[in-house]
Amino acid sequence: MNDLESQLPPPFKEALALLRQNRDADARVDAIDANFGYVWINNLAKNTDSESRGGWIRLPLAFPYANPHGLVTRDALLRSDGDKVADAYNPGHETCKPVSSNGGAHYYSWTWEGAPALNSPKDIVAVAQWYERRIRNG
Amino acid sequence: MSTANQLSNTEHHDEIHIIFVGEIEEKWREDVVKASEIMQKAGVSDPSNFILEALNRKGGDPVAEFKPADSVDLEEKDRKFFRITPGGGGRS
Repeated sequence: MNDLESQLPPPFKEALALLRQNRDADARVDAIDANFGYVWINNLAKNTDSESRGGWIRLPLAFPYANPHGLVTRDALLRSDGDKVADAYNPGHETCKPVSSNGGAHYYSWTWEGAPALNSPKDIVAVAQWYERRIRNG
Repeated sequence: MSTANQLSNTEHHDEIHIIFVGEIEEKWREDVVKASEIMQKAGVSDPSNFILEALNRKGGDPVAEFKPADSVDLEEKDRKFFRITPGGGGRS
């Protein structure tokens, strides 16, 4: 556990542990900003073989009692046809700054609106899948 | 269409389809099942806002997705391993 992770509320820590156990052993928190943790998921699936997997999901420190909001990536996401994902795409947005030193440069301002209510730290795995679906349908 | 052919389209096959939704094993005698039924059998009491995703292997990548009212043909390729993913989502 790094210094950032030691600051996290217990439900968030539990979610991170479950994410590592069930989804990505290398998941980590790279930044905390504006009540959101930037959680790097190393195996977040993309649409094309040319893209590196991974991205930072913005998880509220109050997770699961508040909703995820946005994704930051190193490279612009591509659709399966090779065009850029355009859904709520904000290149170079200030929301990337907390992880810009790690290469974060592309922000997708996706919200949890209309998605099922979250109520447990174990929902983190479904959240990761939800992000992959947003990428796929972008 | 002959009577025999009419029967073949309506009868259930003897084969039982064994599928996995995450770690949960399900057995279906029908070839075509509603996605909502698969999700409910896996323990989702209200699947209305969830998506059933078919995977290319256990723990693999999604290759198809089904809304609750969609029919899933369990005889098709890559219809053995599934996962349930939240639907919905907006943008700011």
